[in-house]
Amino acid sequence: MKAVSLNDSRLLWGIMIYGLIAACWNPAHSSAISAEATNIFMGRQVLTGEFCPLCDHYAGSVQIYPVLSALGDKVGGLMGARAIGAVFVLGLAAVLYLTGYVLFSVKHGLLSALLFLFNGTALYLSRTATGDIVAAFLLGLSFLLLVVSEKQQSTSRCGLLLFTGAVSLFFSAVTKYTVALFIVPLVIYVFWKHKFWKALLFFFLPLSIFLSAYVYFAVLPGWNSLMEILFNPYGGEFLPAGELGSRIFRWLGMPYLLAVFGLFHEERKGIAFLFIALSAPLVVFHIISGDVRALDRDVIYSIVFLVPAMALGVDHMGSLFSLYISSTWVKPFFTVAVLIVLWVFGIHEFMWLQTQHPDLTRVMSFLNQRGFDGMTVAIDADKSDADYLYRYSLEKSHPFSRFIQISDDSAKDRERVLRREKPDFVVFDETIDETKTSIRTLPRNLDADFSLVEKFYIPFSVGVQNIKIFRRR
Amino acid sequence: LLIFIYNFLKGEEVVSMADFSNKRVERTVRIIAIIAILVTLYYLYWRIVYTFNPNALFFSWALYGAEVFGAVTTFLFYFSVWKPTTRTAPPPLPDRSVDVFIPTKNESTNVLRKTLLACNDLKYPHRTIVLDDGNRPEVKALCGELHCVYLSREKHANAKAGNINFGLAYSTAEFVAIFDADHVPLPHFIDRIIGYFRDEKVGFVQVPQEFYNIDSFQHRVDRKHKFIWGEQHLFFSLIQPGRDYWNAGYFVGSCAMLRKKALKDIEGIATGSITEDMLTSIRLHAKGWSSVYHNENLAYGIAAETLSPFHIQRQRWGVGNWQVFVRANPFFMRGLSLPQRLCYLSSMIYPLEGVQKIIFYVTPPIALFTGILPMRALDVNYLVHFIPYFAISTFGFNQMARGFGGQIRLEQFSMGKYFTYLKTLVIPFLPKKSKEFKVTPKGEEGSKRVPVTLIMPQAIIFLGSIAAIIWALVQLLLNMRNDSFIVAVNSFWALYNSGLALAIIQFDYKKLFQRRWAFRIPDAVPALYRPMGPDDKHRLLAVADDITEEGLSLIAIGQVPVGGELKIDLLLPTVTLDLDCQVVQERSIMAEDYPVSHLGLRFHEASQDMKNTLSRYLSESAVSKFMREYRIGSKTYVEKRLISERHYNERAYRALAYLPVVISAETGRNAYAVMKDVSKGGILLASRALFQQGSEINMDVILGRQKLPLTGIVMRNFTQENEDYPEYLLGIQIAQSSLEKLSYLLGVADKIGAFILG
Repeated sequence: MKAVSLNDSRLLWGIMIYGLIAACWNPAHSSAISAEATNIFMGRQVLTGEFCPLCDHYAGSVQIYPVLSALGDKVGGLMGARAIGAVFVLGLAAVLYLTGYVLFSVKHGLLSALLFLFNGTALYLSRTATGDIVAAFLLGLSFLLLVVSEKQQSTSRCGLLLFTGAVSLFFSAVTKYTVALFIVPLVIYVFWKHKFWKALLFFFLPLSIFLSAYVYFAVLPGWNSLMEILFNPYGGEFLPAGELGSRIFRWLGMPYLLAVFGLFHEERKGIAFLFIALSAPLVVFHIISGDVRALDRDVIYSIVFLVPAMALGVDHMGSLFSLYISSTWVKPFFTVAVLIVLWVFGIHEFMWLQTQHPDLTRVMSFLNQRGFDGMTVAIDADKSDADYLYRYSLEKSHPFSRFIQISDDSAKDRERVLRREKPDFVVFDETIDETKTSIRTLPRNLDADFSLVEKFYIPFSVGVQNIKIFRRR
Repeated sequence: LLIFIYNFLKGEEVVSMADFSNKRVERTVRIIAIIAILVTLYYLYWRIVYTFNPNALFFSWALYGAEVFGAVTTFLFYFSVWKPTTRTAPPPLPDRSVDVFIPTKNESTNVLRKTLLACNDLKYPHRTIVLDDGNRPEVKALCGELHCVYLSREKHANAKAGNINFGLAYSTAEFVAIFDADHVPLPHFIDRIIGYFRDEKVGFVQVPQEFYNIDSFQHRVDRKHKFIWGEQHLFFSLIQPGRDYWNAGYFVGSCAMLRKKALKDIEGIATGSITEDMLTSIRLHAKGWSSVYHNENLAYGIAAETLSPFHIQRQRWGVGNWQVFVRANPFFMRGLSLPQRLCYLSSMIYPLEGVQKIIFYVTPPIALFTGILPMRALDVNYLVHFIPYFAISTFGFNQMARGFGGQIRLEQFSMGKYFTYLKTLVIPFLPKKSKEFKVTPKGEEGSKRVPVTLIMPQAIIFLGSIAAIIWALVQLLLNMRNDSFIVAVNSFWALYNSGLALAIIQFDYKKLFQRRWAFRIPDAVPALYRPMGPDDKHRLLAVADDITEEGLSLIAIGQVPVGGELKIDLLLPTVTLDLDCQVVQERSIMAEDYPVSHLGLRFHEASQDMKNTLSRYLSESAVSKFMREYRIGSKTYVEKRLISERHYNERAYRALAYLPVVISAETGRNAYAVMKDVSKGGILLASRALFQQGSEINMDVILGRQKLPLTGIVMRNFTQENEDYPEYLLGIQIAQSSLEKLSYLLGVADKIGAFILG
């Protein structure tokens, strides 16, 4: 095994401390987003035995993250739930360090960890209570186990590592279905790197059995709702390949650019190519399907594979920019310069991502003060699960209040619901940008029943959130 | 495509053969070039139609112009090297008269002495004529001492061209060979090329100008892998053979032989340009004379040591090119073929590279400071077009460069030259004095200048780029701009330019602070040494690993303090030189159980005869020996795929360390030798005597006062091509009984090798 010097381990600790600070800096940076609220509610339901596999938002997926999220929330509220993301991001950084270390060297391991923590998406997910980072961690861990298994002389140890790799990959895929895209390339990888019988016995067969059982027992019963989730609710979010390519480029342009530099690394270019190939299924899937949903978070799965290739790329860039200069300080100078550029780039991307959801703190504060426990709030929002967000944000002060989602109803139904439920407040919550103008408002017949009590214009990354609150007269 | 990419990524470095005769390879390379041309044309079309920034049209046109210029020069390069020739020297023409001209102006007599000694040793009957434009008595005295003809003129009109024409008027020979004062020919120079003149149409024969001071500004050396990259290798190893095919090879002013009848036909060496050689070539070709380029190193010169002489040389070439362009424009000159016109055109427009490069250097800082881009957007669409174009055109260039490209190193030198070339665009409009011929300072003369002002253009690029990066990053952090991807990509580009600039600055400063300016020629000569005091009478065997006329360095087991006096018997192949030396530098390490010293020695009171003997050995044997050990090109991807031969990397690990060896064969013959490398199964010896293949030999590897006896069998033997200084390379397989000792020796050699190579 390669020796790790004290300086190397200090550097690794330094990188981890940086990651910890970056992840935990101002955890209450904004109000909860709907995905966070949904996760916490789902976790609570599972913990209290209200598991509902056929509900829309379950669709058979294993509730690893929601449970963790709910536990975190129980301990520290929203900040506690968000801290779970920080733990997994740091864990994934360590996994990537080990991958770089096992495949290349300590230097490349350190660069892998650092580049991952410099990545805007990774930083964003470390501060957000969503399940993507858990799936990414399990995917990274699975790949690490497969890589380590290649180095083993003993069949039993190799088999054990392959088996655990299969288990990790299975749990990753059932945590986020997107990860399933990487199963075929990883199976090919294992068959390529190992003897056929080993790959078959220790990896392919266990993985197939787990997946088949899971599909049979969990997915098929929830098939219809799964299909509905996959194909219905965001009809407007399917884009032509060109436009989608630009969106993907926004998040993966830099990682791929660095990985391409890795292709020219003097010694390891072949492996860089392999990593680029392994990262590709996500991009291909999004381009072919035109599905833009969760793209900014899904890219983390490609980044898991791209980071070691990026480390090679950055190392090569350091060599390239300092080529044929014999002084010992020149290559470190250029490598550090490249890293500084990437750090600023990552911070800038992170700032955009963190403000891609409007901060509703002022809205919640208003409802908190002007509302009352037991009130009924009807919500007409762009997002169909906005009621979870309002409920989660106000549950501490108004635990007995009701939150009704009316966004998906037709105009007639909306009026009927409003007359039937007699809400105390009606909230219109919508995004205005260059392409969208305000369309959500009260049915005319109800103008006399409600009065506008507050308007909020909350700027964020992609536009302005226009929120109007009406109160029953 | 995937197999291609896989093989490309898997590629290994192997030794280049510089042979253009493989039809499969050449055909494939040309197909790749055609694809690269088509892709480039499409990219340029797409750029002009879709990518111009309407808000920054000037900026857009400037960058586009730079790209178009790059494409045009690349296409002309492809044309020039479409079918490079591989010639075999014909048998020499007997009984012809040859005059050897050495034009000189201000070169030192030390430099000139080496050249004259080597010229005197040319085997073909000839006369050596020194044309001294400096009218120096010491040169006249040197010519008297070395029995050369000395000529000087009263008026020095038309610089070097005028000087040679003065010599031509005096000469009665049928052919003249011309060497710059620092170019040292090998003894068989004339014999190798005079045979080409059997063809009565041949006006001149040119051979490469190779330089032996590989630590010069224009060389980059990898001593461990025995690889040299020279800034002019592409020209002399590929472009000249390529132009030879089109009958457009150049006379480059030195290392050439010309038919006097042809020169008379054009009224002598052309005047009217400070690049008289190019103008002469054009006129000879226009008059219907043909040229031959013989691609074999037959003479070695001194390359520009630092940026300063390099700048003077390139400025002269640049200005000279414009003079030729104006006065003998190849497009309007009658008698030239179209390929000749294109080849000359490609040589003349290269100073415009200065404009192209400055655009490439300032584009990233402008984008970083202002946020303005010379294209509509730096988005996925742009990269989807740019990256394939860049990859394919780079791949195409590397294949067409047949392993002599070294694109990044070429870029580094473009950074070193860009301001010089920009100046050449202005100088034609300045008073006459600035356009005069300036001799490139060589040797010590070239090393004395401190070119602080010369590195200012590179320093400005470096500092400007770094400042622009800092500015843009701070703006991003403060959320004052949103173009993070543009900032990052331009920062990388600016960093790349900074690296190029820093390389030029750093290399030049390294040369300025180098202790010893004279290049010591690497060699491996056994030497007996003993301290000069009365106490120690023992002589020990060591190895001299580099030598000049003024000193040498010695790898010895044992320690000798700085300032100590040594008596050395340098065991050259045919003569032993008895030298008194002083230790001026000492470095030492422990290699297993042995203290190894690397000593820098200075001769004192060496007689001129002894220096002459040493100089002749160095010029006529050592230089070509060590240059043969280094490779100057890499195999291209296409060569690797299509030519199957043993890969360099497949060889067993070899420790490169010189240790003295005494060989004794069964026949009773003894010989000194030097161990050049050692592996776990055998050793390579440079021996003073030839031992037949299959013969068993006993060797004593000398480690100071101790000997390590080994037994082995000669598996291969090679004769170094020099009958005056015979030396034989012997590949020895070590007998089973000695393998344990060999393993120990490998450990010692490994440490010494690492120590010597630094």
